[in-house]
Amino acid sequence: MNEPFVGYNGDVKNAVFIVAVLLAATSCTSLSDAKIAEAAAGVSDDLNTGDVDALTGSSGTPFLFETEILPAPAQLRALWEALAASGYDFGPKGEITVLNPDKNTWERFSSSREVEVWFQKHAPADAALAVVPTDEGRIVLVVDRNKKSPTPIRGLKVEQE
Amino acid sequence: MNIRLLTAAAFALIFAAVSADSLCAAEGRLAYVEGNVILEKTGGIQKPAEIGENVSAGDTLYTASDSRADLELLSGSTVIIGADSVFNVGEIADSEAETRKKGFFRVLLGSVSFKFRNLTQEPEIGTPLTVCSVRGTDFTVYTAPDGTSMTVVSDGLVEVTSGRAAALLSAGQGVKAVVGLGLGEPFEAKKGHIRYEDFVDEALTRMDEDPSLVLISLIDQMKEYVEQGEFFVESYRINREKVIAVREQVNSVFEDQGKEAGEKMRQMEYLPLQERGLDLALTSRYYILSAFMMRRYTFSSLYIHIRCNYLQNPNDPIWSEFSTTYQKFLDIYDNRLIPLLEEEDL
Repeated sequence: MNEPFVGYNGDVKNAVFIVAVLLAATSCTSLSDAKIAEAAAGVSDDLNTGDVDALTGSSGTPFLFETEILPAPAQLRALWEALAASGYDFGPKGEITVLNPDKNTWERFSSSREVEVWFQKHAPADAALAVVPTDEGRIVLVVDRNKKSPTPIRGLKVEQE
Repeated sequence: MNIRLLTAAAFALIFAAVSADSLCAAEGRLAYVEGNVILEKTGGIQKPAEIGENVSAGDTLYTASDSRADLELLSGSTVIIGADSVFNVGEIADSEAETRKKGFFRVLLGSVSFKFRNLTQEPEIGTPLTVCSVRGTDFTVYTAPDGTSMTVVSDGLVEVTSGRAAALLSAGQGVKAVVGLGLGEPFEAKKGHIRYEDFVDEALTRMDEDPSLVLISLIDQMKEYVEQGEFFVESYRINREKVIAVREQVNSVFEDQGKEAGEKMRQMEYLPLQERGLDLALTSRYYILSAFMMRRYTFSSLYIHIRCNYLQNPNDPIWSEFSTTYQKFLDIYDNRLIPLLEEEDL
């Protein structure tokens, strides 16, 4: 009569063990909010100083820029060059907020179906949104939490007030 | 009928009708790769390109700065994709070919040089504004971020068409098709004297002078492609209804009048309709993809340039006008083009 209960206890222990291992594994491969904020501050800094090589090296295609999906490295480099040359102050002017995207995050970038598809197909599986305050609003970055990603910066929007 | 289902049905028909061998046959093989070159297969999955890899219809090659890719075609011809370029391998209908289709290459951004060896088998080459019919052996096609194109011939003849205008270029000649202005006059273009950077600078200057005018011209061009796409999708739908009706008639003739009469009707009426369906499907797809690739590469490049120019001055009337017109373009794209696309295109 008690056997199923013993088995249940065993299952619970196994489950707890598996969850612990998964959490440990996740924490090993996933960037913390603090690291995401650090990466976002780095993007702001590179934009302000015009370090296009660093920006190009840390970002990957297809890249989401506001309403636009940029599949080509040439377009991505042109974007970084144009942003860096814009004279805009990319901050950060205050604390960087890190959010987890939800099913409606795509609407923050565009109302187009293609941006919804980008979030489904091309956004990193373990993505974070970093919101960087600037003097005139904020920039929103899509960042891959995966520590192994060589190109964690995957999207950007400039929100102006 | 839902347009997306109709398009899917069209391609299901193509896949059923064309032999597996011809569909899987590679258009070419990457003979040389330098720097950062990305190969995107149908469906949008990107991976680093490698020497020896096959490149086939539907694939797109991207080169970053200081990068290059050489593609060796099955015919023995060579395509050299320069730095900062986007090159797509596609297909169009060709009723004279055994498979009823032939290759169609798109130079969407950057510079691509062609050294053709077998002119009877070579594909046509398109940019957002032009189509090159190849009668030459050695030429280069350049596409600027605003969609403006330039073709320069080193050897042989190349006919460049843009809308209703055409120019036949011989060795040492070039021609530009400028967005909003159409095809220009041929000019002398000595090999080694053409600088892509200067061509791009000219395009950026045009964008800066009147961004909304450039945008409106691009919208007009894209609408033409969309209208053609819609026309051929509708033509395909009508043809498909005929195919179904005639197939039923053929079956009745087989049953009522025997094999010989049924086979005769199948050959005379059913198969020509089916072949026409294949042509219509490929042609509609050509126009739909032409519009989509303009959206992806030309409109995006224009948006990046103008958005960043006015990032510090979001209330500038030039930006306000541009951004209002851009929203109109996005509405056309969302409401008229996206319904014509396959899910995997996005």
